Amino acid sequence: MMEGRVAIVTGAAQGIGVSIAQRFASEKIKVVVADIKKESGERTVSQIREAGGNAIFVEANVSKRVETDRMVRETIKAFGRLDILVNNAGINYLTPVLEQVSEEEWDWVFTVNVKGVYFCMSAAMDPMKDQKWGRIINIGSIAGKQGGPASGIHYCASKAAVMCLTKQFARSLAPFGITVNSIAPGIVDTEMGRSLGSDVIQRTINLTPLGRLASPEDIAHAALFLASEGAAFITGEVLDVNGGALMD
Amino acid sequence: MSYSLSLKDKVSFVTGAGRGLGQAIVKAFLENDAKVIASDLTFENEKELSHPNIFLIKGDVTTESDVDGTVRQGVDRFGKVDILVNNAGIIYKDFVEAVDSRKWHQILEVNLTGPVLCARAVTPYMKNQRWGRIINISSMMAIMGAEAYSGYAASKGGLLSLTRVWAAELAVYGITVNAICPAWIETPMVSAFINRIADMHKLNKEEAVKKILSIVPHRRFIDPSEVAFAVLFLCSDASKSINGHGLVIDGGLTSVITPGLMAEVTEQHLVFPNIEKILKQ
Repeated sequence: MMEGRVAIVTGAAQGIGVSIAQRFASEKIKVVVADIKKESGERTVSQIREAGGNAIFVEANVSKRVETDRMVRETIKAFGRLDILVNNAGINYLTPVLEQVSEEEWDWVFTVNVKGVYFCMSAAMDPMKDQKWGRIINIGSIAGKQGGPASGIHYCASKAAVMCLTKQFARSLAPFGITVNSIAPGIVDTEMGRSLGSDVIQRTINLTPLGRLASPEDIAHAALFLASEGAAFITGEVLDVNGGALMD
Repeated sequence: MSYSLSLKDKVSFVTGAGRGLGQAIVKAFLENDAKVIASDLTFENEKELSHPNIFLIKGDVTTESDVDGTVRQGVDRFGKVDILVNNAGIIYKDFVEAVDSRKWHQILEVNLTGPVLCARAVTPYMKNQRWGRIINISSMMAIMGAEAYSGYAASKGGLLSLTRVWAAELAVYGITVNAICPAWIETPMVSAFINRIADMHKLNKEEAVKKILSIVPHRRFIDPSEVAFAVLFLCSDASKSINGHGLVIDGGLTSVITPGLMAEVTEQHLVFPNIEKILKQ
């Protein structure tokens, strides 16, 4: 049933994005690996192809509208359609709350994490509207709900914004058969997750009922679920994948 | 549906399996190679449920001996129990000043005590094998308010709270506990709701459906198979990091609904026959 679908996964050169792209490809979804990092993005594509999947790399900076528009155009050119968008690209700075975040840093986090998600959604929604079917999945964060023990305040606020964008788009795109949902992971065992430092990670594990971090595959499974036909009535939802660390 | 979520050789215990959503969940488990202990007070279409991997047993979730007996016999039959789906539930509505004590206690017994008794009966088996899944079928009424839902909303809100408590308690044993909070599912329970709205607003059935769906962004009811698919997902290894979550399946309804909009569809005019006059007082 997922065969023949076409997905864009942003930030798929590393971390969670790689797992999502691979999991989708294993269900015969054609995947566009979108990232600013060409070399590692191409590596994701090679891995998918070696495993028998179908993927291409599109170099795109999600914070530039002209590039997200091109990303969607290249997707349609390569695969003829666009069914699924996973807004996974995001950045985090660990600037402590009580230190002043520079204006440039604040803007950069919001540019990538919020404006990027908005540009990608607005570029992807037209082909989805035309075909009356679409799935948009935005990677939020537990930090967007309760703040984070070590993440920057701009990161936490940007992820809260992502989850709000999700609901607003869910409402507007529902009549077109497009669902828009968010996944709110706890700390994920990736380079970005581990950058929080071993103390924070150990404390988080101790405070998580399931006693471990999420794996990137855990997030990929959740994304596949939300992208599937079976999740057609789930929209505007924030799916927690946090091992019970926050039950709100 | 959609993609394969193998539950081969898992044994599930589904309450309220006799009709509606429960029956859809049972079918989904069977289609994905799980075994099912299916309990209810009565079974509609009993023949349709005949399958080598199903153990049908009549029982009342509010009666301790029934629940314990069902689980014991189910384990005798299939050797273990891996999954519990607390699906049995009832609904009735009364405004607060008219709450009927007997009905209040009954709804809490079925919707809240039932899940407690079932969870109590299965957790020793799950703890022993260090693997388990408990799925509580809660409701959108657990996270929103709507007039006249005292008993139902309290019971479903309570069930969502139990979900979090059990998730915290049982995680260390490899057991995850999650809830599903659906909006209106196309089941006998919703047919009764449609009829009530039709009577109340003097509409035919089709007009009543249209009125209700006017507040659902997706403009349709949920198919029971959609909730069943979410149950499969939450039971599979794909969801092993999801714990203590209330998964909302509502076509966007709770993201956009306000109590006033809800009341427009349901009973506002009964509570506030002349709302403007009341507001001016």
